[in-house]
Amino acid sequence: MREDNVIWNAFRYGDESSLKVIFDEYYTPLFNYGHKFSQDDHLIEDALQDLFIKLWKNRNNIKETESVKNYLYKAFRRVLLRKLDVQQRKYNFTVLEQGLDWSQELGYDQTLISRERLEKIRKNLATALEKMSPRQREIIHLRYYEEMEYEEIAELMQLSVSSTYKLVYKAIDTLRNHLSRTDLLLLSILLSLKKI
Amino acid sequence: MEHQQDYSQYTTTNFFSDEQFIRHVLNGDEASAAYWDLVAKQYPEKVTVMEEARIWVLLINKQPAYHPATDQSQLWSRVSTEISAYEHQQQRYYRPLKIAARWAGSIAATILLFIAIREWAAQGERSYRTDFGKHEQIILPDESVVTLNGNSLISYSRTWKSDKPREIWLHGEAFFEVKHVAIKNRLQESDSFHVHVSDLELTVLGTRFNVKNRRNTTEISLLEGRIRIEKTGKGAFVRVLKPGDAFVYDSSKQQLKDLERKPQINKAWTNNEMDLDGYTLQEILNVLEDTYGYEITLQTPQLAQRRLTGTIPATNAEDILFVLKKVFNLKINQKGNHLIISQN
Repeated sequence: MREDNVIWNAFRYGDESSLKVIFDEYYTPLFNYGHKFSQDDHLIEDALQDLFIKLWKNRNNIKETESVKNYLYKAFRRVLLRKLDVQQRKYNFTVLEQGLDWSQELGYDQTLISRERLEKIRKNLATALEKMSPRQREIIHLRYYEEMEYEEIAELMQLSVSSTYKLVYKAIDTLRNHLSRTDLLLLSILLSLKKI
Repeated sequence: MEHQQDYSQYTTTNFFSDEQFIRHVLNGDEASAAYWDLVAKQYPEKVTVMEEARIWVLLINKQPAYHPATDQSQLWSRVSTEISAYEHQQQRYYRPLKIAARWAGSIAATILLFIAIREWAAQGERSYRTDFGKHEQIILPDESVVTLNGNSLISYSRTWKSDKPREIWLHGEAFFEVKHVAIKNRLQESDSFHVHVSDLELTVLGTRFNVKNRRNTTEISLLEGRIRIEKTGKGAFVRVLKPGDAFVYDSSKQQLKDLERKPQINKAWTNNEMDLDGYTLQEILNVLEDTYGYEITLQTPQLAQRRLTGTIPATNAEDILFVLKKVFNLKINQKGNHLIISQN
């Protein structure tokens, strides 16, 4: 995004209001990403606070960037993981939010399929995701939720592109073994009624 | 997409991890839809697994963002406070040295020039004035919006600092949509917005209201939020308005009383309409004089207190005059700006 870069440069030249624009734009996406690592809102808040203060203090050494989003995600991830390390010496990652009302999220008519049925399908997916390593789950999240390219994911997670691919293929195999065909069939009928 | 791939061995997993397929599910366009329709036609036995793969992607992608219970603007003010403290320290101890050492020549000069221009541009007072029959919308430095009716004037100091209340002076009529800047539960004097009109001072938080100041009377109509009206000196008073309240103040008699007309009616002009409920003919003629710049002589005084109801378009004065003429059966004699009105 070009506009992002203009604001980014204004911030690098010391404009605090531009930093606020960036803060406001990325507060929710970054919080959402952070929430995947930890359910401790205060910890995520602290990480965000540290991130933006650090950005300001280091602004003279920060370079132009092709993607402000990727820069922020990478920097935020580093700050957050360091905090988590101190706290629990490991990191976790949740792809599917607990307790989401999927019938509402997918916007379908309740008369077509029971809420329980849908919940069961969602649980299956959650179980499959549960079997993966946190890193695999994070890749899945970044590719399918954040819609990043594998090159970007590799850069963000400090992996090589080929090992990112390998991790994701293993992850997908896990997915396949845990979703039963009939459940998916039902869901596919349901979803085909609604245009993407 | 001319090179069609062989999908005969594809499983759900293959589709799910096929970049072209993912792109189609996430950001498909007509071309990609046509392509995958074609694939579905050529491989009818793959339709089910394609659907499966699509659902996998969507189940993950369609999740709403997490919204924490923590407060975004409070977090920013923590960041901002820490930045200020850091800058203060830098300026005192480190920056002078660093600047001297590093920022030589033209870079420093350019930046100084920028600062000088900004400082210079922030000086002085700004004012906006509208002609008769014209509206103007003004966006204030804090993003509050003021709509000025015809023949009206606002002025304010250019230097609105975040630690000072915002102040504005009004003559004539204007509708205000004031941006709320206070942080929740941390209301400070500096968050307020003051309108000086006649000899009143209105203190406002984020809110929408109309102020009309013509012929010694000031009408204040509140649609949203809260306003505190204060008069100091002789005949001092304080009054707090709730949404739906409309008050009128007569500066010659220095008294404040309820206004019969409701706020919604008093702001109709912002939509280029005039809502006639609650207006006498005399009051409508006053509007024509004050806002549209006519000089009017009413030769049949018994008409002055007549009323009518309804909303009429008021893009220009001719619209209003046309309606009045028809409804009251008037004879209007126009000589330039001077209208002589009598019963037909």
